[in-house]
Amino acid sequence: MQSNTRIHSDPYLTEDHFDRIPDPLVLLIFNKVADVRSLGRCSAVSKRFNSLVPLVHDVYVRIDRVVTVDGDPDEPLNLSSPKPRNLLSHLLKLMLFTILKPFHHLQNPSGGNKSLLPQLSHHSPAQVLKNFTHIHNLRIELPAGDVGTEDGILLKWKAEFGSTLQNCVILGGTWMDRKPASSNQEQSAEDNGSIPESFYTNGGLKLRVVWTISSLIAASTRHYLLRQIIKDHPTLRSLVLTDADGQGTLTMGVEQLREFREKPLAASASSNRTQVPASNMKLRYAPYLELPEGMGMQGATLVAIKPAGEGSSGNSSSRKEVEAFISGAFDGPFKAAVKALVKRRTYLLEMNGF
Amino acid sequence: MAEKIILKSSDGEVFEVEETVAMESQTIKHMIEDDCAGNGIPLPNVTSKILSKVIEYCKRHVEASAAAASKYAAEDSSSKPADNELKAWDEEFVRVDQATLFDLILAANYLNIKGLLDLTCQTVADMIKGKTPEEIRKTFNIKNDFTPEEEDEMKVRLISGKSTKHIAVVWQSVVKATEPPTCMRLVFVMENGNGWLPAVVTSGSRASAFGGLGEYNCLRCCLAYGLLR
Repeated sequence: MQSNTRIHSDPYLTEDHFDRIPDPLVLLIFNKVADVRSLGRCSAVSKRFNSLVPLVHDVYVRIDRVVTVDGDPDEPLNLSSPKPRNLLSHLLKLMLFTILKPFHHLQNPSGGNKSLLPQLSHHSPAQVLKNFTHIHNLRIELPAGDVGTEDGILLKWKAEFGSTLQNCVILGGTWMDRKPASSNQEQSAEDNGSIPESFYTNGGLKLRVVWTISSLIAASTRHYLLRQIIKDHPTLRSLVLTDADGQGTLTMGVEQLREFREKPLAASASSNRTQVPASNMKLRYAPYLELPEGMGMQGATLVAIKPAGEGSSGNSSSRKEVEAFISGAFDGPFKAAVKALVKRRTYLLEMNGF
Repeated sequence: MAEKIILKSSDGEVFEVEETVAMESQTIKHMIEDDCAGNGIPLPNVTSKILSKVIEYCKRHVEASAAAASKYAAEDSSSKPADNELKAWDEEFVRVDQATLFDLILAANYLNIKGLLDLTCQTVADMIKGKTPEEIRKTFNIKNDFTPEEEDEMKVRLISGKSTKHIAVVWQSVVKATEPPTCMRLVFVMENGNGWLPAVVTSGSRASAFGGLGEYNCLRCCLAYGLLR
């Protein structure tokens, strides 16, 4: 049915303007479309579009539903991700025996070994991306953060992976609020930069360790999911895996993707995520931080994780890289939080691989 | 004190612009640097109508950069309102008919003005997002040059990731296996009113998806067995 409302007669109204622009410009437009669903529809528009869509450089995949599929040996599941909460409590129990007392108050969901298949209209992302042959920059957005947290708790992480963890920074807070400008009670009291005794006695350290482990599990699980995609797309230069809640970001750049392809991936014992290597952690804490835009963060914690034994920390250029990574990890008020926390006293912790 | 550059459009009109504004175009910038700008720069690919719009864009953005630079020097971090203003101006700027929009894309490409190229391409991209193939064709008057068979093939591939040849074989074998059908319940999961993921439940076992059959192949199968009312 021919259109719609034409108020004025325009000789160009019946012309296909795409005919006037060369393929590289059409590709530019497709790069800006980026969304994989829309691009799929573009490829059904005409033969020219159909031939150009596979050449797009920038692709964005938004996963809107994660579907539970029981382990089915016939169906080659391209992407499977264990439900983090089940896994979390299971792993925590195993691992924390060696570090801290077990957390009895943690939920024990009736988890079996259900595997979740992130799906895009009943296709896995790897399948949907199979048509694209020249992807340079891939962004994938999961529907939600992997780590469940109680109300009011803020948890954000950013991790860089090559074939294994290279860098991770976690920002957490026990409460976020909008504070009136006049409050500065706690701040002046214990602001000598060191962690107050209360932090250890009221479960503060335990909570931070849980945050850290959960975030690392989430990050390494996501990393493991990407194997097929990275294998399928040798043209990849950058890969970013985020979630709609803005909780966690996994990034891989050119060098890291190369390392991934060259070095074999070490899977963890449960083999649904990458092994996290033994690491050094730097923890910084502030009981209360005032942030821009009138926000306040209680129990603010910054944890920076780096695998142990990777070129000694005396290497100044790598230290600068790590600092740049940490300060650039988050935006907005969180960037300011990181800036404030970095000035605080650093506590060093060591962690086994898991 | 500001140098003026002469630009000549394809239809003979002459435009005098400040050098900073003209230099927004990398093409013109190189010409100036290579000393070819003497008697004015001829732009045979750009009409006066489009050139005046391009100049308008460059002027506005040069002004914005200058303002931002002075704010930076004064360490004034209140750039947000100015950014929003510029964005609003840009949005208004590209509110033009399609012919002009595509002319601007071509001009921005020829003159190598990254900001304008990004803006115009993004505008077209936004017109594409969220539309079905037929809607896209309508919006841009694109001719559908697929044969009906090719279209079928694409539809099936889009939904199932498999080709029609493959589907037919799978479908036939599924039908044979369940003949007479032992299906107790046919479950369809609708997604956005477009794709159907069919699943067949057989005598008490859990649902196993056909996983990849085209929508109409499965519907055909169900209709054939009177399972779909």
